[in-house]
Amino acid sequence: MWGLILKDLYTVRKSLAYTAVIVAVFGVVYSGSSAAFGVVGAMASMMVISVSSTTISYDEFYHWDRYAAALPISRGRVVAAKYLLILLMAAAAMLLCLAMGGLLGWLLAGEVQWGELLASAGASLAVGLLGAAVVVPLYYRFGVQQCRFALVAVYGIPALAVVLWVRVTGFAPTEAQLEALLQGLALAAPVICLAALGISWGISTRVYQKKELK
Amino acid sequence: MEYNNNYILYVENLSKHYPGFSLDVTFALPKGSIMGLVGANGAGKSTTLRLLLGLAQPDGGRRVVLGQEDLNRSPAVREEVGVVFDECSFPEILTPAQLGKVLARLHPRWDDGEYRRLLERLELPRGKAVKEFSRGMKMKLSIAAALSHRPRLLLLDEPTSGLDPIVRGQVLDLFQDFIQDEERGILLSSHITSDLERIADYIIFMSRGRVLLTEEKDTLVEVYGVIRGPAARMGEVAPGDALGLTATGHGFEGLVRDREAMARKYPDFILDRADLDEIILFLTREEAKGGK
Repeated sequence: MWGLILKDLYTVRKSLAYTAVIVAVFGVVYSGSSAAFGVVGAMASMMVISVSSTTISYDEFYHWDRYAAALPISRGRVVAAKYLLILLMAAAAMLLCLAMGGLLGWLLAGEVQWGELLASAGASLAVGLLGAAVVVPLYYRFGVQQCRFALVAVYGIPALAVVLWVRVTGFAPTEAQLEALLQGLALAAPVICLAALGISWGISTRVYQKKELK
Repeated sequence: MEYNNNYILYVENLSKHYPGFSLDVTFALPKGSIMGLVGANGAGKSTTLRLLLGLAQPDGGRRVVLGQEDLNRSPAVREEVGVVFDECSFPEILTPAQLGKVLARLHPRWDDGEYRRLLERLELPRGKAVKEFSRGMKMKLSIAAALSHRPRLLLLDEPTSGLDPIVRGQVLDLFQDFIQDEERGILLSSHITSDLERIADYIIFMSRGRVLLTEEKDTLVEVYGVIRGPAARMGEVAPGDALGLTATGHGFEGLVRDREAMARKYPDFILDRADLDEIILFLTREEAKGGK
């Protein structure tokens, strides 16, 4: 299984390096703004999602999937390797966010708000992981090309739903309510993410085990 | 035909149905031999290989690979099957050296020394990205990878296509070396009949998802023949004596199963040896006549 992860890392290492540079540049550009953490986190979140679409897309394009199916590993392990890679990327993105945030905080304010930084990076990565949990089974079922708009839908539809809900209901939380909500979400996020990824993994495995490879 | 331990690969009524295409094949590959799958595009050669590898599920029949009924249920047995597809299946951003590191972690019996020797023997640069390789180089890399985990059975789909004659010779030598211990076997599909004439022990001719002919290659070359004569006398050839009997601009020609017997029966006609291309051509004509 580690061979599959190594193959994917070789495949995406250049694009990962570019992403890391872009994250750093955005971090510096936004360093004077309170949005810096958000921008860096969002970029890192995209890194997590893009690694799944890029590697599955490469697997399809080069017919690696049929070669992998002929290897002495089960199809379930092939799928498991992809999810493990996503988790590894999430961990790397988290470290990158913390390093960037810590550096910026130390340079600009002389101190680092680790709690705030962890919450910010964690929220961004949770969004990335939830997005991956939704799109990866779709990629396995329909192919990356057919699902290129799925990612837009994954984030666009919930965002639109929240905006509409707020407008319709007139929901206007106080600062205390908002903080409580965010705290609750922060505590629940790891559980929600792991559960979503677990369900996603199960669906992807079933889909991939039945898939005819050409 | 029944399964026995002498077969490294046994296929019985293996079937698969797609809209507009049905496959139903039976054949067996004895240990220590090379079997060539021939047939026109769409005959079912690649589908047969995909079913054997478990890339698609058959609708019926048996496929016993290295003694295992279903390769999908025994990933460990897949270690003993080397595969080369008609197109390179490796991410082209990788170099052969990186690919070796990847495959070493995926194949328990990976022999890195053998991989390095094969890369050298096939003149493949270790540090150059696969995307810079020609089609022939990519095919050589696929073959090197397939041989480096010490398989017992090779399933090869057009492994020599895109290779120049010199490299094809090298690769065919590798395949012949591979079966020398009489415990291994190769099933390969190919359009290059000269390659099959050189290395195959058995030939399977497929058309429209069916096996039309399974024969030892030596029998094909020694026993089969082409009968030729003037077009006006084509009617003298008894029905069933010649396959794919056709009038040409110069006379008539057809394939006979027993050249010497036919030479005695038709002393006025020319009876030549048939090469594999001719055998395939006449069988295809006969199949087309039957299909009309």
